[in-house]
Amino acid sequence: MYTYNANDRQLLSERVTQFRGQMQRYLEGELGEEQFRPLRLQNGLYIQRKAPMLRIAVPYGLLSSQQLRKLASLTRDYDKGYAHVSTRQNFQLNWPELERVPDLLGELAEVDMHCIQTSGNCIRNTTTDQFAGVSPDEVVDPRPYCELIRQWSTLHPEFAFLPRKFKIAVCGSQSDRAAIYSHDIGLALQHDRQGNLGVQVLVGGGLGRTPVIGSEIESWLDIKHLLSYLEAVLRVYNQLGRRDNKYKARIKILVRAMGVDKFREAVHREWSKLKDGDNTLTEKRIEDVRAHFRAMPYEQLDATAEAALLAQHDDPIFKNWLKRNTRGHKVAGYRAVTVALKHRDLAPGDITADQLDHLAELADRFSFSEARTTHHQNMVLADVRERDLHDLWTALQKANLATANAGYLTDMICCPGGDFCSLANAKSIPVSDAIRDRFDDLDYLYDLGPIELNISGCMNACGHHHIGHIGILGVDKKGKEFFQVSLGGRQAESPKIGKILGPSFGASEIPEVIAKILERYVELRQEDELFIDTIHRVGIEPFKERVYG
Amino acid sequence: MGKVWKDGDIIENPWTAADANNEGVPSRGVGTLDQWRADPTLTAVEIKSDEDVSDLTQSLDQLRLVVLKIEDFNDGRSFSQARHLREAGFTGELRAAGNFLQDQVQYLQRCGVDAFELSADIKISAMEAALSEFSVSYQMPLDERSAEISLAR
Ligand code: HEM
Ligand code: SF4
Repeated sequence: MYTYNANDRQLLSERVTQFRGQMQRYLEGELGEEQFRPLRLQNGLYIQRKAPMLRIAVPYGLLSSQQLRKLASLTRDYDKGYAHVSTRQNFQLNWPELERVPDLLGELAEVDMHCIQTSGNCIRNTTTDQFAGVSPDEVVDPRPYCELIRQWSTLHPEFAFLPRKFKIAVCGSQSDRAAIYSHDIGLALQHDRQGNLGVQVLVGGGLGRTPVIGSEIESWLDIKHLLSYLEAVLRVYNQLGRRDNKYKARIKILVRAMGVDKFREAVHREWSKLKDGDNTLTEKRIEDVRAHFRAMPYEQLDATAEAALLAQHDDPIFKNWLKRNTRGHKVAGYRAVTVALKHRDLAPGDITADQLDHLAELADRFSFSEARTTHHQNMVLADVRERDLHDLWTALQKANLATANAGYLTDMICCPGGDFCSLANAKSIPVSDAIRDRFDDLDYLYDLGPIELNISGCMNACGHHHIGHIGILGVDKKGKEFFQVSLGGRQAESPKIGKILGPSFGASEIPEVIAKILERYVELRQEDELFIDTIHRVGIEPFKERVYG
Repeated sequence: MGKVWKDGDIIENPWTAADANNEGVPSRGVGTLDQWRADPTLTAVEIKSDEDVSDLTQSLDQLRLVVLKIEDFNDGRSFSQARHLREAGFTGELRAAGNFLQDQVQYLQRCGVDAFELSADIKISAMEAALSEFSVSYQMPLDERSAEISLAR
């Protein structure tokens, strides 16, 4: 992973000093709420319902075991002993004390971590595929480009006060695991016919109140222009994006209002001034960053022998886990492991301090001391030898980290909702609990096949309900909590926004509604047809009839 | 008249502030964008956040002062305006005025602003400290001085 040099560290330490000063001015009344707001947000600090919420950046989801240990100790010392993995691969702490946040940031900086630009109207943490660098379907490892974007966007003087937040995602594989169509900018790395590296550029995707699938503005752009092009897009957005209404301020609204072609023209006008300028990526610059992401020192293993070792274990629970929570690796004899944060004792995406320590240890033992966070609110150990999988599984089981449901119905995405968030219409976590309790029969879940169920507590869509195969959205009706259900949303391969099934339901009705939808699917599916494919084949009517009939 | 921080010195503002109601702009007066359009011989112009600087770039040689009037510190358009003008070759004084935060002055400076109109809300010593809050930066330099500290190459 990227290792900090003296300059990176200098910048972090100056940032901590700066924020300490800002906090002091705020506490002494020199800075008003309004002035302090953008400053604290750009340091990841929200003021929430019960306590402040602090979002810690995990650049494109990559962490060292040392960083995991630090997080564990911070959750013990500054919070209630657990953290939450967000859908944008960051960590959130729900209970830090305002006054102590500068100290917390100081401690984070000791392990090269920070909260820079994890919220506020600025360029946020760039996200990517949790299997970057190891997935067999990878075209180009996206991480060096994410790092280049991280550096370019960090404390960029021009873009710290944008009309609204700005999120970039990068995909380097055939199948998109980074949701690039629902980001302000989505980038897909690809080669042209001559084998030159470039990038497809999408703009104006997003969820929230107005879900939009991003539009292509460049089908292929030479990689050396990546940063100057991003700069041009951001400059157009910074100047023309709406600032009169925060619900209309995202770039998606601007792109829609202008039309993609006009928007592209405006970008090209800016870009003509920036192109081939200082921001042009030289081969050396790319190579320097790529050097940080060299392949791990893998052993040369004999795939058949490794498979034979693995086949010795015939414990059915292990085999289930092996099948669901591990996946193929570029290198023979290795697999990538999804560490489930979907245990019944915790909210989806929550991880305790002890689990963090445990995971750090397992990363050291089995996966070159690195771990990753995922968009599905799980974690990943990306480089595990197949012969170690049984030992790893045993250890994960002890720590409640081996729920064998990765990709299945109960591997839900769920926002913090009304239990924590002051914007919520409804409590989302109890709904996810109820669904998990109702569908606790793993064999049934396996039979249903992969299903993505996403829950948001309000239309801000932090739980990505629009692009869940099943989406659940908390709505408020005359002060009461209700939930709207949608079907057919999809993140990857021809992304789609789900269709609303009909009138909303009370929280207690939701498990039964889901059960009816699933029953209907089982009746309708043809052979091994996936849930999402059945919905797209038959439409939502048959499901509507069953649920409301 | 008010005071201006410029290149490390605090000076009395030698210019009269822009006033849209002025019939003509006095000598050593700052014109609004409309007044400048009516009389392009003016040497000082004030640009509001929602105004387009591209007209100005036609006659930059003429201009000695551009004042970026920031009405709301959350409105980041002035940052782009500043870079726009500098990239177009403007070498005169580029001044920030209005409602900006001490915490923004280094960003403004790195976008090309070299003077700040001081208001009661900003302590001079604090502002000067804020100008050197960061000794390193990831972005490419706009001038030679920051080239030395840039990380980017
Ligand atoms: C508890 C405190 C939280 C607050 C106050 C909050 C607030 C918001 C708001 C206001 C938006 C909509 C912004 C817009 O459309 O411009 C938003 C979007 C989003 N939030 Fe949160 N959020 C919180 C927690 C989370 C968590 C825990 C996650 C991850 C699980 C998350 C992930 C997201 C994502 C991915 C979006 C993007 C939707 C889009 O692209 O439009 N948020 N959040
Ligand atoms: S979706 Fe709404 S309720 Fe859920 S975390 Fe986001 S803002 Fe809060």
